[in-house]
Amino acid sequence: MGTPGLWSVAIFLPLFPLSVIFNALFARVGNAPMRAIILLAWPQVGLVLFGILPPGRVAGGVVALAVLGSLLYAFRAIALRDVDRWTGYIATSAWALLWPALAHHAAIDTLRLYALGFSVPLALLVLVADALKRRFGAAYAGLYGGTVRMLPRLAGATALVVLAAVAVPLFPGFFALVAVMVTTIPEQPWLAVCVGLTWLLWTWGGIRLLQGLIVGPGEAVAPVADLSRVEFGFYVLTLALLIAGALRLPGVTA
Amino acid sequence: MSLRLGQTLKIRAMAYVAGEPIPFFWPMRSFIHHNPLHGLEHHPFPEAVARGERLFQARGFLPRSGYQRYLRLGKVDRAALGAGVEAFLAQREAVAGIDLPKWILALMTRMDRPVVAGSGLAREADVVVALRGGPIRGTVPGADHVRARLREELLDSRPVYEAVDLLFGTGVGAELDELVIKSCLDFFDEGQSVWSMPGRERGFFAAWREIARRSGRLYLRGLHIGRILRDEEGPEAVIVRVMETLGVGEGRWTTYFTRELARLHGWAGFIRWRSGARHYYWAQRYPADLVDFLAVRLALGLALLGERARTGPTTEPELERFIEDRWREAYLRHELFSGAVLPAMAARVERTLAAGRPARIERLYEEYVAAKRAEEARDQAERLQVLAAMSDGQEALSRLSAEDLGRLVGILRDFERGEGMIWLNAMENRAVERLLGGIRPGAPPADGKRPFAQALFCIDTRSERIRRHLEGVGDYETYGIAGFFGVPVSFMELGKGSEVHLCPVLLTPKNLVMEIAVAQGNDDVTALTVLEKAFHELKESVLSPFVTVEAIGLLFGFDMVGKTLLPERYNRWRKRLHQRKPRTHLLLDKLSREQADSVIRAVQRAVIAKAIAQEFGLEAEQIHDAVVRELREVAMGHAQGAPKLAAMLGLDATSEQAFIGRLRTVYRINPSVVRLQMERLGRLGFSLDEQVVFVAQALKAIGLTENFSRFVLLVGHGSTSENNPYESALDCGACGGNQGLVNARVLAQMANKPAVRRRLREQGIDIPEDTWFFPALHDTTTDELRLFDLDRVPASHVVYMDRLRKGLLAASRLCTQERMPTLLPSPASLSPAAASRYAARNALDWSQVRPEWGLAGNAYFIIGRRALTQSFALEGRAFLHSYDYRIDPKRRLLETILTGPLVVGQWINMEHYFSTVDNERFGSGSKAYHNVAGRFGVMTGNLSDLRTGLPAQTVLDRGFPYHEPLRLITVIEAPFDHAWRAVEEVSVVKYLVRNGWIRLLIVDPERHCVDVYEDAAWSRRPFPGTVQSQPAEESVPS
Amino acid sequence: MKALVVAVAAVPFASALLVQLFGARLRRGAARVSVGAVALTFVLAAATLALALDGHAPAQFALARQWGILLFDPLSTLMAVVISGISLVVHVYSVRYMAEEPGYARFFVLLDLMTGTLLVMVAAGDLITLLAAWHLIGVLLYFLLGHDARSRAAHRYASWTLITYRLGDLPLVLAAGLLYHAYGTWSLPKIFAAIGTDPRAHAVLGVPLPEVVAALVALAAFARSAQFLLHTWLPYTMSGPTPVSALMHAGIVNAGGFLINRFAPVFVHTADVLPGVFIVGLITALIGSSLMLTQNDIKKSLGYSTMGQMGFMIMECGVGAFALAIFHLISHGLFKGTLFLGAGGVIHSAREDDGVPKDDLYTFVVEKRPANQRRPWILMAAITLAVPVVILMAAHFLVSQDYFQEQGAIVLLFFGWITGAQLIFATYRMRAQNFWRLVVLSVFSFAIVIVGYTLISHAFDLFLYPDASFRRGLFAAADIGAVRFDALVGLVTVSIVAGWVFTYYSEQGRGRRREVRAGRWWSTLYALGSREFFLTDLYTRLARALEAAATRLNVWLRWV
Repeated sequence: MGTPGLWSVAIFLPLFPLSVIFNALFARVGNAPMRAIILLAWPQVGLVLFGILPPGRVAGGVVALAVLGSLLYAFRAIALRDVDRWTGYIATSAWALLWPALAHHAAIDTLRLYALGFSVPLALLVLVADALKRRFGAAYAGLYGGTVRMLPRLAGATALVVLAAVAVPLFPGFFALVAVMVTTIPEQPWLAVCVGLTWLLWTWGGIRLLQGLIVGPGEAVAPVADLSRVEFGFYVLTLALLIAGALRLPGVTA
Repeated sequence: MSLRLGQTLKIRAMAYVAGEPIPFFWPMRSFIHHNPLHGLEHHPFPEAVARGERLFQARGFLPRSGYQRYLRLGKVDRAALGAGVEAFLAQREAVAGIDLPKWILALMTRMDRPVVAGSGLAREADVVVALRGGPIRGTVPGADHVRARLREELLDSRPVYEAVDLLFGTGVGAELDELVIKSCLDFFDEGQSVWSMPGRERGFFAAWREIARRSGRLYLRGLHIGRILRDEEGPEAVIVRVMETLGVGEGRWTTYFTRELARLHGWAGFIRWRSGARHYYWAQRYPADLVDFLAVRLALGLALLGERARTGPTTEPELERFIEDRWREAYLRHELFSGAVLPAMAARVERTLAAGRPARIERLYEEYVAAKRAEEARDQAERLQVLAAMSDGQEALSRLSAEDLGRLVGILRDFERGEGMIWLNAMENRAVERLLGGIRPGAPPADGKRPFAQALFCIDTRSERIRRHLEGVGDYETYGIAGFFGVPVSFMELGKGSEVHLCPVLLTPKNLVMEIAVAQGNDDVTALTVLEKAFHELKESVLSPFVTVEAIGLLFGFDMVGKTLLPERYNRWRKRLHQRKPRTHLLLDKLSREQADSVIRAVQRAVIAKAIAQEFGLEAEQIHDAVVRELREVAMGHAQGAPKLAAMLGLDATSEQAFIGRLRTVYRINPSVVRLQMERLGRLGFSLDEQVVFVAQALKAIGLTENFSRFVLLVGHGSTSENNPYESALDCGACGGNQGLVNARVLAQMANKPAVRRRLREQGIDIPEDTWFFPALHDTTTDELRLFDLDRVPASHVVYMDRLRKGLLAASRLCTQERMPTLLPSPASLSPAAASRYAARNALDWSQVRPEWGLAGNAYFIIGRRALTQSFALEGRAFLHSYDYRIDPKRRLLETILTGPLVVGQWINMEHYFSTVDNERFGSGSKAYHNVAGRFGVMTGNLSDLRTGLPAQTVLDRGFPYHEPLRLITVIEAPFDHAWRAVEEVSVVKYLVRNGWIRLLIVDPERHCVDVYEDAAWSRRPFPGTVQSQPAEESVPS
Repeated sequence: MKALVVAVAAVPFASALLVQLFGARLRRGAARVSVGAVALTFVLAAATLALALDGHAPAQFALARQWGILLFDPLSTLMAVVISGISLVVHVYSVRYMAEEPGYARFFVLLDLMTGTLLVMVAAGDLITLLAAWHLIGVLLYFLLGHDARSRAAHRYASWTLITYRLGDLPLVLAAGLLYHAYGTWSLPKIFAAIGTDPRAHAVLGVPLPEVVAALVALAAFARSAQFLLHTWLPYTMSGPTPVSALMHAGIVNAGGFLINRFAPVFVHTADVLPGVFIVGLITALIGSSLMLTQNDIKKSLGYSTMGQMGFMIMECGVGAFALAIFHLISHGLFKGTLFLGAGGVIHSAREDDGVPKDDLYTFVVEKRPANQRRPWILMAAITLAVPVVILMAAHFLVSQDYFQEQGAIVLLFFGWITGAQLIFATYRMRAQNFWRLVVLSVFSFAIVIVGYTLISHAFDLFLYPDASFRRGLFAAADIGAVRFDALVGLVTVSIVAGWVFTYYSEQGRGRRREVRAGRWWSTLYALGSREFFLTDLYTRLARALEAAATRLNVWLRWV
């Protein structure tokens, strides 16, 4: 595995120091659809590059670096209140977890599905964050809250999308993470424990974010319009498709 | 450092004064409805509500959307709204080109959010520019302006840790509340925990210090509480040291203490009541007062500040310096952590403050303030445009100059601050109109015919319905009297053994009444064999066979399934297992000295007989009275040996002496105990002339002095509900949150006594021979009327009993039919039978959070004859107290009604008012999350302040208020000067009326006019509706 | 048959979907739909139990290719009946109890989803379904406990629960990974068969596979059933509505016992995992019961009493009586569910007896009773210790002789008495009646409880683990040397007597000198107890430290 090739893949499947590129780019891009596309495309590019490069064993050290980098970003995400940066950190943390599967010669198209499984909920989260920005000026946890009573559909969509992002069961993330842990257990069990801890930190970060966005007295919320039925239907339908796809996800269940 | 006496007394005085505005909190075992702003009642109502809102951070009026909903339902008098707006605009000069009344009426009736928003960074000029859509420029507000606002916002009115929380987001306040609540729970627990806090006798602060010092070392690394709590100091010394460490000026200590107490006003109210309640058992055993509470709170506060805010400022001088030299950072920090930050820049502000580089903070401050001013101006402009569109004044608004706009915004801000009162007055006007439309002052001439039965009900609003139906069912007359029938009683129940005060909280009873069982365990003796005794022992105990069902039932879920799926049948079956309460009599006649002595002697003989039976296993026939009498003499020290006993049992001298010794110690047959019992017996019961006074007072107060019918029912009221911490709130408020049956039985027993009737006849109240007073209980949850003490009814009355029972049953079923639709999820009209079944189910269903609506909906307090309100269906919204001014020339009876029942009515009304307008702060939130703490109070969830006030289920109906929040509208049916002079003489009620806590109307039946007291002036209006020319003249009795 | 088993799990999910879609229009009707659906589920579950009872062979039904297997075996049918029964009662209770709450339809949707997920977990035939259901329960419980969307505190406490549950999921995923890696399949029956044939076949880092997997499964069970050090979330779940607490303490918290029973074929081949489980259960039972006695509010005292009972259940698993653990979690569920649903009645019982001692005049004139002479505490403690032991011995002769030999059984029945004592403490207040009557009553109800325990647990044994050799294997796996066993029995006896001494101290508390020295030691212990051994404070500080570290990290690595 030539180092230059590795570095190029490491940009797209972000290893720790190189993740600065993705995060900086993600922070710069303003409008929501553009960010969603970046989220969807970024890991796929990495996998394509990995496919092109001559096949070779991925060094153990790289896998360790990937898992530890993922743990670092998950840990940093628990203190974030800004939804956009949170999405960026969770994306970095999730894609880095593809390295262990790469190291164990998992089929590339399975990994492509895993990457998609991680990216789609995050893309939806970017759209939800945009909806929040249009209504409250910013998607920032702990500032307004209380949307459950005032804007039930928006709060419902936010909750479901955040749960999908933190790999709650029956969403693809869940099966991907189980597959990653199963592959890493035999050789380096402590890596599997790190992946588990990352997953725990995702849940903790996701719940803190949710509490800041939907929980609260709600009187302070200015009278703004709730999501339309169509928009809410879109989110629910996408998530339902995600679950349907996840049920037939190869790899774990193959 | 030990304090001089002077300083200690000063601290205690300060704590007392600081505790004034905090309302009392009574244990929920006897729920007392009280006015949450009782401490502010010496201010006029609007000003007191404003102070209450600031102190308790609560809302004093419904949000505007709530009043708009009432407007749509027709509960608000539009004309009164217009008049209120006119009055408000009268003192303010008009704004050029703006039709102010139209604008303000549009604001009130159509706009659902406030029109003036924001803390006012943006000046009028910016709003004008924003109106015209231009970019906002201009100078940034200067340093001293920001410093002044920060100092006023952070230092003047807040405790230090609240200021630190608002600057650094440390959350010290929340954690301090939890620690203080946990300490209070440990100390004030009344039997919930088996292992309770050791050393509670030494007082709250001393006991807490023992525990805190020990847990100080391990507890929180930096919490150097040990250093704060040196050994030899009292609570006052700790308070002084903490306040001096915090650097708070001595002048502001009292307001500081009030703010501290207001944060946990549930616990503070409970401690304040408990320190004053001398009769309260737990207060005697474990004393505690507000000074202890303040000392605990301040000590923990200082410790937490030291631990959590190590780097930043932790005392007032440091805060002062922080605001002085780093005012930009202070402003930004305050914006971020108080939640007022501009959403768009929130992330940047947080990152810059976290980085903490002064240069970057300064640049950010400039940018932030400009953006904030622009945003505020835009927001204010946008709200003004919305209002302008509603009152089609857009172009007038756009033509306004900056100075005019400033005045317009000022007027709108003042209006929104006082808007609640205008809505309240308008709703009250509509309610007064509705009332005056219904009542008939000209009483029809009494037809002299003797009614079949007369019934005295409590003034409770729920009695109005059952009285109306009882009168409709047959030839019945009903009267309204205070629920305790004017007889304050300290009652000792059979099986409970401790005294309960059955009277309003304002009074303390002087007379004790004891309950003894009629069949005094005579089957005790008949148990023959040992097995029978054992079985009897088991059966006779309060738990008896119920135990095994309980043990098995709980393990296998009989309870869980039974109580949930078929509550009535299962609970009725369980009740049958319980020991039926034996029929009892009340000991209420005062004993003379020799009577008391003979009682003591009789009891001693019984105890001795029992002692012999137990000690020597003798049977009843072997114990001879002479032996018992002799033993008593010996035990009391009047004689030496007990030859008869020794002879009978062949005892030698030592065992005989031993037995006598045991008699003296274990069985308490000795002179000292007898002296104590004699003194206690002296307090028992009522003397004859006391009884005469009470009966006369009760009958005269309601104007029932002649034409008595054969049956006079004294109907106390109570409620039955399952799994309901607020069951005492549904019982009788006048009996201190207990059932009114005992007071009814006491008054009935007194009134049926021939000696009392003779003395009454001498005073002019002639009760005919065949009149009998029946105690009865009205169960307000199922509307069931049950008669009591039927075993003492004279034979002559038994014949009429089934007609009476039929009448009562008919009245309760009709009353349930009228009441039940309001309780069903979807209001459907029901047959009386179906309604009664629903009511019975509500009373026994443990998942029913609202067994009945209770006192919700109370609005009126009518003092007058029943004829005034007989023809008007008040839907259970009025306290009705019968009163006949003609037999009360010296106005003494009216004054007793005003001091007792009216004040209790006002408390009930204010409790419902404030629990409705802000159920989270003044009320106690939803019952689904309540958690009973220490067997006397309720918390929400794991750990919260003691929840005062009424739950959401009592005053709200699916989020919207069910109880219309109005002040109590009091109507007195009497000549104007008669009523007004009575009110003047009762100072408490005078100030309630003057300060606007009650609305007073005086209906003059003779001149057919009504006088309304409105903002410190009387206005006389002719009586609407039928104006009968001839005033009804009755012969005034001698 | 397959349709029946699948329907039991599917009906609650269908009802949840129905209520969610038409909730707004149905308003109160939503509750009736939900109650009807759960009633149907209960009937179906009862039908499957009936089939299992009359000897139907265990079977499995795969929904998807590799995973999604639903088992039909005694354990799953029994637990399905228990869960749907308790859920039915909670549903009926909530129809009126939650009528005034905002989010009424949402509450019933979450209740149905929780019931459905529990039924799937109980019937899970493969590791993936088990993991998915196990994880989903934690998430659904978070949203049920945080039902009051207005209160941030409720959500803060609910996140404690979720974090502990997620901590419990981690070992389960590792165990699943190890098993999949070793045996190449997710299906539990296949794995258990493979382990059965050759337990020592695989090893992880030198330790035989069953030992490691059993330890990991035990860890997962500890987190779910609030064992010591992972218990702080249980007493602080009282911010949720009362019906949720009832459902949780009756149906969800005891999932740990179910999990250990499900992995019984793995535990059979372990040597020293079960004694460890026993120790943890013992510590939890003692600490939970003692903390229960210091709590000042009804719901937290019930919470700690559940912790004690869960410790006791794990102890039962630890000694090998797996079936008795199932019976105990069912009876405790009904017992605790009833106490929770009726928790509001404390004020009513306080109005009848508010702890104020009877007035002297009253006891003399009305009751003519001798002054209540001080009870001989030592005698009373001895009696409540000796009497149950006698009953235990008597109970044995009712049950077959050989059952008595297993040491574990003796310990078990000896602890059967703890439930009796727990029952007495919870239901009656000791100091209310006079002394002799109380002794008669306690003996009477102990007898009922103990005899019931012995008979019914034996019946459960026959139903859940029919083949006797498997049962003996379980007891063998849990066997600890005779010496350590006796030491344990002695330790527990001493702790029970110590319990009496504490009660004696807290009742007395008068200031004699000897008292003062003991008083100081006793108030240190009370300080420890009232702060719940400082665990909650420790964990909160740990969480706050982590967040502060993350914030500082974000500041330093601003650009990366």
